[in-house]
Amino acid sequence: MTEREILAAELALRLLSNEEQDQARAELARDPELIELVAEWEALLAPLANELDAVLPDPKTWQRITESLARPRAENDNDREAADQLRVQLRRSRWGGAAAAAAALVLGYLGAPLLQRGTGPAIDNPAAQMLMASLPVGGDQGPRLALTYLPQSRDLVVEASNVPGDGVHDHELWLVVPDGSPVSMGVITSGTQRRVALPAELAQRIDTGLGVVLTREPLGGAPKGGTAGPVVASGKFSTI
Amino acid sequence: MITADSLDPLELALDRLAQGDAAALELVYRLSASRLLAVCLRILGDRGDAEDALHDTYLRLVAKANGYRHGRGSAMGWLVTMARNIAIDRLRSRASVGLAAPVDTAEALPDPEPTAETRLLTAESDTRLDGCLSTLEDVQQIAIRSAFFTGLSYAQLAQQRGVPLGTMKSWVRRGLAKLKVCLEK
Repeated sequence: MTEREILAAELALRLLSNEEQDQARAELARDPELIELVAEWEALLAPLANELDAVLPDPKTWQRITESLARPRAENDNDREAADQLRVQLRRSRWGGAAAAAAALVLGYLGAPLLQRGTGPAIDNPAAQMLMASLPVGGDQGPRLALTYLPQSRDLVVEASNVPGDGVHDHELWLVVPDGSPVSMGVITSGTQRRVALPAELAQRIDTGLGVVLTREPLGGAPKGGTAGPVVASGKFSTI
Repeated sequence: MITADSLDPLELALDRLAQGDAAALELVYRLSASRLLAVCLRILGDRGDAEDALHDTYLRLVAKANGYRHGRGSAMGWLVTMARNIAIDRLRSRASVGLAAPVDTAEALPDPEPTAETRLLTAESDTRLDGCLSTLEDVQQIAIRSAFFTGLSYAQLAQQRGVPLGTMKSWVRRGLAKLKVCLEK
């Protein structure tokens, strides 16, 4: 490995002292190939992050991001025109009304249809449409379920946070086809993200008003052949 | 030709964001935030700081939405690098204003075995990198992993490990050289 390649790896790993880093910065400014080498090392090493267990962020962090983006330029903001355009779109589309959205989240408690998003921008390729549903179960601070449907893999990504356990109940997630029976997506574990492969017949109908329901069940979930427990929250998918 | 089917969902969402589709940011966030937070938390050791770094990462992403290049690593890897750099900047600015960085020593290494769930969620399970790292000498592998996960400099790693600076540099450099050869095979 050449000295330059070593330097690139050291820059990618951020191993250098501040002084060395400053010197290297000058070198980077006049050496686009070195920038490429650094990016290559970054890409090579980044998969190490897969070894860490995922940590679900506080729901407030997303809220802060949308608020920051909806604000006019921050003082540390030196981004380009593209970012400005996105910003304008963000303000126009959904996040300008952050307060209204937050109110909708709080109101959506106990079985009321929750957060039904407006139709997202048109997507050229229908096969690429992704859908989302959010089920805040108890307001801002309370339990939260975020579902994202990935059409390529037909996977449903289920994220649950702040779902309390009382030691005698579990929460179970169901998908409901209009005029059909609910199909269990399993018991929810708080603080985790998991993927559930959707059966083809459900995947086909997911964009036609498939409902999402969270129920409270005995530990381990609803008994087979029995009826589901009380509905804790419900929602619908919408295209994003 | 790249089709929707050939892309991972995160890559697709990043493309949409780069094309000015603001709604795609939420999807990017949902698909990546928990992994990026894990990276930030590992480096910063403080939940509040890590959430702040996560916030800054998505703001930077909006500013650099068209920076991801297909074919050079995964979309997740690109975001991990961005989050890691932001967390390290934060760590170093914290150190420069005299606040002690929460540096654990031997515990700085990640859990040796990822959980089944993490594996399941890993879109880019890079067995090649794992395999190549395992061919390094223990001290080399540990030094490189520590550097990645803690964001510490050579001097800090040497101090943490109680070895001369030159020894740490030598471990890392030899390890990297060997890693490169293995990855290029």
